[in-house]
Amino acid sequence: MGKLEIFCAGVSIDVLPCRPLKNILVNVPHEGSSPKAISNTLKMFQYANNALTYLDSGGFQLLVFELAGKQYTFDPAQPLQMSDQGINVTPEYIIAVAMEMQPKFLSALDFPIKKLTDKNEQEKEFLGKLGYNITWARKTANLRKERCPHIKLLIPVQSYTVEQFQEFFHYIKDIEFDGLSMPVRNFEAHEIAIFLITFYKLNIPMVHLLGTSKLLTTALAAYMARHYFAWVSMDSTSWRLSAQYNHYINPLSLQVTDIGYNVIIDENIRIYCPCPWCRGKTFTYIKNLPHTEKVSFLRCHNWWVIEHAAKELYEHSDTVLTLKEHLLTRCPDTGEIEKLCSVLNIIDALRDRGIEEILFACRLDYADMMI
Amino acid sequence: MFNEEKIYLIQPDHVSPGEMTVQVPQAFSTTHEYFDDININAVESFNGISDYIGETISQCPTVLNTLGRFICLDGWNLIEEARQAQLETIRCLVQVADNCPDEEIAIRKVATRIIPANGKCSYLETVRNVKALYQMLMATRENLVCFHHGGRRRGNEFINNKEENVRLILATRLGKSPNTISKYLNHGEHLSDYAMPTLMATIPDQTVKPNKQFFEKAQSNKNKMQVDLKSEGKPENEITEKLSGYVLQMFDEYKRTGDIQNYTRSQAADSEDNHAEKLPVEDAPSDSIAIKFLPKDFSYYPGNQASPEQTSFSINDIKADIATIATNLCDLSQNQNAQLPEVTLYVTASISALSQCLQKCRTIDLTIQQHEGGNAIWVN
Repeated sequence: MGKLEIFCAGVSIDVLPCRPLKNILVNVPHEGSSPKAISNTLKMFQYANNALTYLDSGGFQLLVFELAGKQYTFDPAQPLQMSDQGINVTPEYIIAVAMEMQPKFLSALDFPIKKLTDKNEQEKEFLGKLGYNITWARKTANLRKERCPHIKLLIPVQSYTVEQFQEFFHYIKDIEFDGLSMPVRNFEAHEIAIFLITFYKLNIPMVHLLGTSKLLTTALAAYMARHYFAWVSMDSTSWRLSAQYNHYINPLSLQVTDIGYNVIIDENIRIYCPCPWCRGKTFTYIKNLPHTEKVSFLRCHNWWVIEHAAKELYEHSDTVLTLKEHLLTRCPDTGEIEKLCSVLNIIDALRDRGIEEILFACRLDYADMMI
Repeated sequence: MFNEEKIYLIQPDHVSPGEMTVQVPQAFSTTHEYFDDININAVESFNGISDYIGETISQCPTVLNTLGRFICLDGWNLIEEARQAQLETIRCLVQVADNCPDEEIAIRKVATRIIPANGKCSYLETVRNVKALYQMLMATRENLVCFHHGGRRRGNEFINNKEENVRLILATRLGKSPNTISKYLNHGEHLSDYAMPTLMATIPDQTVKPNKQFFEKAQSNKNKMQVDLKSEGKPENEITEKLSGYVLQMFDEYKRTGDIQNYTRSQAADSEDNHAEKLPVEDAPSDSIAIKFLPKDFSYYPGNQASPEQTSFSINDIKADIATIATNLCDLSQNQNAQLPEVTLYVTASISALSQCLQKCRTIDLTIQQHEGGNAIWVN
């Protein structure tokens, strides 16, 4: 039975959803771009009294700059920077910041692939960035080995399909690392499950799912942590971003509800959230809080429900059946729950078989469901 | 005839050069006020300040009686309506003030809609009173419609939500925006029955008062402390007690310094101090660094293979490296002039060097394992 950990991303010393805050994820371009930024981050770790820290490489920021048509460079001769003008980041900087921050976990530098639907475009994008991703994964791993071997290294997976992942893995399998991290993008939980079982078959002990806090993805992570991996972790900024947009995360389905100033709330709609912030309060109370207090309230509530949901899902992950029963009490989308549980059943049944056989069975199941 | 200069020379307003006579400034204060039926044709409008677009909420116009004239300050629409209804008189609230020039009339016309008739109260009183009104209206069994505004007591704007309706009543009846009402309620939240009167008692005899600026500054700290208390699972009454105590403490600081220290910064400084106290002073500094930075459940994943060029380390080399690091840190600890940047630099460099030592240790350990056949390959 492994561990499931949820990392809080997008925090600062003034934006903490609770204290102590157990797990914090920061990234190199934001929190490591200057000695002052690093010093502030270390102060934040201390103030938050956190146990685990995860340093993400900031590949996502590279993608943001690429999509915005801004300059992005990988020049070790230039300083590490992220500004309106552009971004410069290299594996050397990732390790240098890790040396300063001493996180427990570290992601290798990666160049994320764009969200595309056309298969040909996907293949082009994957191949176009494969070289970067292999080179940077290897370089980060070598530098980690030299300079901070005690920090656990996770290699980000940038692929649209399991086959593409296997191709990437072929080129990095000889380097030293502790696990894989995976951006979930548009994948549904049952699609992520296919990747995870592939990782499991490759004896990967640790997996981190980047940037997600959806209910079914969390359920999948919980189940995989209970039965397959030594460690599964996730991170998200949705607790904070939702709060900024006046969105209240439903404690059961983890879907957002708008409680902006223009929303009319019937007084018969009660809060059924057991979090310490919602206790004894009404939606009207939250809605009418002054903006700063409202955002602060929602941040705290949103983070609490995400963390709490993960705990409950982990506790109910004894079997696929118990997980399914619990999910049905939380979420009205029975179709999606059915898809996820069906894939988990296949994976459980075929866990000792070869990966090709598992993939084939899962895809056959998809085809049935599509019909 | 006499010109002005001659009058001045004959009747000087001072006794001798340099000795000015004290002139009592003309005060245009209201001598008395009364309601009376005034002839409509006697009421003049005042155009120095345009009439208000919104109609007055008063039942009768307010007029100024000065120099024998009746000048309308507010409610001209009521006079026009009375004229159209061909009434001869209209009941007015008459303010009497002697010899008002146009400037004074203008000020009065503007003030009718800005300053309350009975003057303003302190910010804290507003907070206290709005909080009390809110609780009163939330608890009332009366139909809320009857508390709504003047001519609009039909409750058309009401929705099926008492909290919202009470806020609406407070906003319209007190002439504030709903956001301002929310702010008052928020500033009054978690102020105990003890804290509110204690703060109130400071109002009459203090130069620094618990004003809006104070509450706005204090609110940010209150929020952060509330996050801490809720995280600790404290019950609501304890949270109120602690936050009230903290508000009083902040007000003391505000009186002394005119500012309030940021809660996060002060807590961060405290935790830094505590952390420094916890570090074993007598131990070798290198040990402290290791204790501080290396994870307790440290385990090294060996991967597929150890690189062959890294197998030539000896334990004595590592010991020598550690000795150098320890010496440097000892020197630093005894250096009275060492400032924070220098200490940070040394500590960082030491961690880096220790990390390399650790890597060498693990490499030696791996080599031993390999010789003994203990290394497992975990990936396909």
